[in-house]
Amino acid sequence: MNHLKRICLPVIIMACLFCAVCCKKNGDSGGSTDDDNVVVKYIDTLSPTTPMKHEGGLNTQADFTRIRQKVSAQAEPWFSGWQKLVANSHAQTSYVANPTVKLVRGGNSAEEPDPDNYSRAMNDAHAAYQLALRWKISTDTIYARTAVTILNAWANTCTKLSGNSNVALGAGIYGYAFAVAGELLRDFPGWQAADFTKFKQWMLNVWYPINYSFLSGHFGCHPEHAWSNWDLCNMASAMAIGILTDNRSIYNYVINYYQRGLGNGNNYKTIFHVFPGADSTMAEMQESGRDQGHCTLSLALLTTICQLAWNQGDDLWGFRNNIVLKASEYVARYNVANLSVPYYQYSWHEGDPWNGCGVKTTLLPEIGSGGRGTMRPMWAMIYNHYAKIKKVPQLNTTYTALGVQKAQPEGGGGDYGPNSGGFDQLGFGTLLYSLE
Amino acid sequence: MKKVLNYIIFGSLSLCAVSCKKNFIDLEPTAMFTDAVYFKQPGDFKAYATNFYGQLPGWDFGTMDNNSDLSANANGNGYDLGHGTIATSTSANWNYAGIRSCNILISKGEAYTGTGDISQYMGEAYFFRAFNYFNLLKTYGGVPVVTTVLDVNSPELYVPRNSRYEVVKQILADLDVAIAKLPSEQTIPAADKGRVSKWAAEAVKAQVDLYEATWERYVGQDPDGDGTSVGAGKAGYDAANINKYLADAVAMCEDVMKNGGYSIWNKNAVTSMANASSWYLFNLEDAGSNPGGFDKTTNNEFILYTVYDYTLKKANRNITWTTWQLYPSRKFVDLAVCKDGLPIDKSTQFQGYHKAGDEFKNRDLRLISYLFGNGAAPTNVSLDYGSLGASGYGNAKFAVYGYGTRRTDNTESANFPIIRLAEVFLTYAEALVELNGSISDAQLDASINLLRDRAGVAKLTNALATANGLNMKEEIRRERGVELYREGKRFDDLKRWGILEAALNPSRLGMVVGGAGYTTDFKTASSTGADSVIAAKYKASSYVFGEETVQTAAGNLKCIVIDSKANHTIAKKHYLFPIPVTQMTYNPKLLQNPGY
Repeated sequence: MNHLKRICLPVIIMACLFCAVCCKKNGDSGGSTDDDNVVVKYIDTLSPTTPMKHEGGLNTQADFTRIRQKVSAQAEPWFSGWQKLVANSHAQTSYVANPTVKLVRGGNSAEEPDPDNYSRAMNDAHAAYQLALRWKISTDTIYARTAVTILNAWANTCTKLSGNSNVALGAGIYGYAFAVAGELLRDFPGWQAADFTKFKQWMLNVWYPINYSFLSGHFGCHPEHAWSNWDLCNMASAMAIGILTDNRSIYNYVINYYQRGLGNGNNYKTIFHVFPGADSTMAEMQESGRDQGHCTLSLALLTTICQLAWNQGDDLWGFRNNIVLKASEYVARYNVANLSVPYYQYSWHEGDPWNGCGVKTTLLPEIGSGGRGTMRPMWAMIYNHYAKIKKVPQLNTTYTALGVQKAQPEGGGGDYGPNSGGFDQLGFGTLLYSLE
Repeated sequence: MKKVLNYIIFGSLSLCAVSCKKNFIDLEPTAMFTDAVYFKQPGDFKAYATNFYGQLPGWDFGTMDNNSDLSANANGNGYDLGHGTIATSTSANWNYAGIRSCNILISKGEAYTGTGDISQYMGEAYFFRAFNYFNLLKTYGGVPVVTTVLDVNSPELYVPRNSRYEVVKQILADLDVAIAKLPSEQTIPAADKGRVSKWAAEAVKAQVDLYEATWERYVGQDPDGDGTSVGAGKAGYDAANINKYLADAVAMCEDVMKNGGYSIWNKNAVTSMANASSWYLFNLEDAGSNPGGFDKTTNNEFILYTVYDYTLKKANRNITWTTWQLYPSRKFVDLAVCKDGLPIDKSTQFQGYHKAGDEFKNRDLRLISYLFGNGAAPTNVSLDYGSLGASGYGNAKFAVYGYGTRRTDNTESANFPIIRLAEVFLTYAEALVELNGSISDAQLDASINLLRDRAGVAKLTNALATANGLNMKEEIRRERGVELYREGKRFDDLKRWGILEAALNPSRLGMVVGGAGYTTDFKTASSTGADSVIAAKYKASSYVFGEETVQTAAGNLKCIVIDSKANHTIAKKHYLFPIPVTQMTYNPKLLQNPGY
């Protein structure tokens, strides 16, 4: 045993020294080194007492003023985008909410014997959002009234989310849709203060606990087991709820998670590899090796988070040297332009086949070609931010620009089929994010 | 602990003592074939040689010329070669396993002292060794030539590459042996159909001859490198070989044409076959595989092929479903001639592009059969890139008759053609023109005009060429491009003609959409005279690379872009693939090809 000690001690000392060196570097630079040795500037969070900005969530009042002018002048591409919104069956004053006491995603399972009914929430949340947009742009209050009626109906009826682990997807994807719709309607004078308060409490009591529970503990699984979209939708939901309810602590939690979180919503894990050399305008996503339906979903959710934060003054778009644009270029090159992309092998924490938990890893040897060409209305938001606001060189937005062109005019929930995939993102990017 | 260890040591010692008894280890394993008990009778050689047939290509979407200049769709096969994005890598078809099998049979055959004739199986071994080296040649250029059975410490494992000229010499020598030993097709019994004949070996030899002669003429020695710092070098090069190979190609083809007993499968005289022989030939199975009731035994055109059978060996590929989506490029559609035998830019029969279907009027039956099977070109077309890269044109070659009822996904079982008589004709005609600078009408009639008969187009004659300013060599290349569409020859043809860059770097285009100056089903003139898209027929935004104006038979017109020239960077180095880096690690004497 003494013999052992003699060998171990120097090793321990060496290890400590090594740590000390590493830590010192981080401390000095105020950041850490990224894949491509660019010093990353972490985004600080503000004091929990600092109020949130109530600009409208994904769009600001200034955005809506511009959009209103463009639409009334029938200027393109805004006008086509507007027509897409007006034609959507969800954006109609005749829309009737269909709330339920118990919302189920992951039903017909051991945890929840009742069947799924989440399509009620997905349709209603998108209807409320689309009607709120129509009000913001047309200023006709009948749309806001219809939207508020939908939100009130849910807050007054629904008391619980249920299901097996898939309940996390329901809580994330429809959570952010409801919260963003609510934030858009916050300054509608026709929304009774008591009703608005009740809606905010409903988001906090029914939705947020699942978002937080998933992000903080991953339902007991290895934090890297769930694919990135699981973290991302819950991050989007928590962030939107934090903004809606003026709770900066919740918002700060997401900003920190994005930069340092344990799960795959940590940006270093969501976008886990930046290519070198000639391919340095591209970065591979965690779900690239899985399939393109989910990979595009991750990008749509990730960019929703970036846009929500941007309007709070936090530049997640710029984090890690515009890494989100690189992921977008990668996804668009493969799915929109139909060109080959480099691939870096990903090792997924698949876990135990019985419960999905544990640390067994599975190598994904090549890009997942399933669902290649999946179209989601997400390109205009990404492109306009980087090309028009950040003014990055045109060469760095080549394939994202093709996505804008191909998807134009982007629609929203209901325009991309009746299934959940068409309601994963709020859409209408051509109308909402196009800039001159 | 100490006690346990003692048991182990003691036990091991006793085991050693037993195993040292000589007769214990000299037993022959009764349930396994080993060299000790095998290769004792001709049947052993035959069974062993049967295994060679797994080395032949079969049904696979990688052998259908995807990403070549004649293909415009989103299929990923051939992407790197088609786009010039080949990277040095660890994985590639550097495969000597087949060659080793051949070497084993040859060495055992040479030592064979038993009774019975094994020459057919020896011939097969020489044939397959040549076939394997030809594949390596086409992929990498020169490679180490190994003709003996190597062991783990054989010095041949660490030799430098032989030059391509030395490899070709070995291939041709092996084929000569094979030709001498193999039986004629006529003497191969029905139960053994599918085994290679003397004619198949001659057809492959003609293919190698033409390949190498045109490579040396049009590609030259740039890809060889110097053999000391890069590439496989130029050892054994002889400028006189070009004509020697061409003359041999002609001689080989003539022997197959005269004595092989093969004929073109032309059933167009049978009304129910709807002039679609060029479609039914490639899905020929039992009598139900076409309305004429023809089965595989009527196919006297395939010379070298891989046998499939509905009961014993289905293709196990969803051939029909997938090939329907292997859309051709507009270059292929423009390549086929009109019924008068003239290219579309010379023929008065060509009807232009205004209405969908117009461009298929008065055209080569192969264009119709390959794209639309036993049907006709549709007159109602919608353009939407979708996720499969639709060019506006269909594809039917290799798809079955009666899909969904007679045959479902993965059950297609037609034989896969590797060399058919049509190719021998094309090799013959091309070799003659390359050798003599001309070809006689009689030689044309004995070869490719039999293909044009089946295609319902006028014969190619010297008079037709002269009267219309046609270049005979180009017309024969055109004939080859059309006849062998999607049969896995196109990339090699573009290489040996020295036009790989010129053919692959332009965009892959789809249908003409025209504009205000040339209205089509897809675009018309607006009230202001500008281009106006007819949205119901043409989803322009789905084509992210937009439109490109190119020269067509009806002037400069806009076409949809399926795969943009912006993404094609084919260069001289791409005539050869890079040597896999793992092989260069195993054997440091292997030098990489130039440019990689």
